[in-house]
Amino acid sequence: MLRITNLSKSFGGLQALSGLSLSVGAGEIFGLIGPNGSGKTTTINVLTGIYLASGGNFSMGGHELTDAKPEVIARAGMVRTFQNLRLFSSHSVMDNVRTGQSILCKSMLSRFSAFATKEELELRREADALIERFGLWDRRDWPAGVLSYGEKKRLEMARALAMRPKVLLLDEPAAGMNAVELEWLMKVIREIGASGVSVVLVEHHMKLIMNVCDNIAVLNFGAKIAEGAPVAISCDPEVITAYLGKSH
Amino acid sequence: MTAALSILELGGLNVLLALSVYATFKVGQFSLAQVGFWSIGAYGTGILTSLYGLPLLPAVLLCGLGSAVIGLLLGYPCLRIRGIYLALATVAFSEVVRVFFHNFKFQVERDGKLVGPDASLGFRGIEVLTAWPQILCAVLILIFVFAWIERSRLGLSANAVREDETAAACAGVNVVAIKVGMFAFGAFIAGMGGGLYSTYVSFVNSDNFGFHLALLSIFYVSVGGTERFYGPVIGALLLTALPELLRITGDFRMIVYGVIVLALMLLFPRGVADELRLRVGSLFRRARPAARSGPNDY
Repeated sequence: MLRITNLSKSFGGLQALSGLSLSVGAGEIFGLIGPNGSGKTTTINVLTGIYLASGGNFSMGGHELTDAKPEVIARAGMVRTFQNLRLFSSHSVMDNVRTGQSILCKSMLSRFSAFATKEELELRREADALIERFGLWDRRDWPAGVLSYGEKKRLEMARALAMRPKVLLLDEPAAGMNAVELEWLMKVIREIGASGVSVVLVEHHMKLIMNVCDNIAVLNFGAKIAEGAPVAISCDPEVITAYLGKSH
Repeated sequence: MTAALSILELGGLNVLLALSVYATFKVGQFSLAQVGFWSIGAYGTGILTSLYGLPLLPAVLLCGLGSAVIGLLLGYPCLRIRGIYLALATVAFSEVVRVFFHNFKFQVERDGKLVGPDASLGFRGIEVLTAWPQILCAVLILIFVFAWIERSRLGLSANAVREDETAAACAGVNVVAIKVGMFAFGAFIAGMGGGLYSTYVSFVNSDNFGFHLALLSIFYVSVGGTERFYGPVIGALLLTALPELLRITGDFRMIVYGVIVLALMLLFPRGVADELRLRVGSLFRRARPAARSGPNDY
């Protein structure tokens, strides 16, 4: 589904990503881990068009997207959440979810009409279902800015899913979640994968990564140092060195 | 009665100016260029009607379109700058336009008299074609258009751009098109409004369109509210009527005016309309029936 070939990104002299190659299948849950500053979020930013790649390319379902603008990438079906929450905070919860849905409007009428068309009603039902699924039903009309941190995190995921993504990039969805929320998050991520959406999961939370991912890649200083199934990764000596340092 | 009517007429014209500023605020752009478009509309419509005998409607529409084209040309490079830098760039544009009309001499003989802009002496003798019906029509049409935009997905996208451009782009919103489009739409409104203004007052001078008017135009929106279309409408009407209502205070008029505006800003930091809407809204914001799914289940 998602194929990344030799992707690199440098900021001046700093090589944030060097020659990253990955391939994520349809419905696969792919973990991207590594120490702080290893290039995980940079990867997501390049994939969503926020940064332009300095080299290499990536494509989704055979569709070349390397130099495309963020909105083109989003319309193609690669959708993300943000590590440091970027909601439309004065919008209601419902409107946050609806914003991304505009790309799904097939008729010009529902895009520009002030009155709900049949298609629009359909989309609103879909948004309602998502809001309910993410436990925000009682907050449906509240401005996103007044939600609690956990609720905002869930709203980010609901907003992303509303765009019916083919590839979903989750940037640290578990940050700040308690044990109960974490259990729930694992269940949801598995469901998303099972529905055929590829998930790229950037996370520091090892329990989450080891539990839900089909495959994991480990980044260090912008380069991939290991890739494989969770069990293999957790025993890889190079990974342990990168995370814990070398013993003397 | 006539005094009250003329306050309403001026208020209506100021609503047009406020709505043109609002169009740019809507996508998070702080623009002081509207006054420049306003004076282009004022001079342009004056010339088209009084010198070439064009009827009001086509003249006003032509000036609106002309301003929109200039708005596109100005809006595109201005995409890269924001905040105080955008304010500076747009105020510079307004000054360029002002100085241009300050030196603009273009007179034609009509019935043995010279008419047309006479550089720093201003543009006298513009045929009076606008009164309350024309102003009311323009205001109502624009209110309808803004209400339409805000109910549609277009308004949703515009608000998203104002809140967070990066997140909006990642949600599939075409940020460039929305920003440039709204900027040009604001220019269109200002060009049209300026045309109605000059054919209402019959005399314009480049000095009327200086920094003072630019500040007032921002005032209307920030006192009224920046989030819904009725904010600038209320702001413009309020701030036009206020100095007249304060005539009883005599010499202290502008002092009292300033104090009231300050007080309004302190009491209603989001603008009168939005603050009231939110406060009333939060009274009714009850929690819905408890969530049936989500992590609260466990």
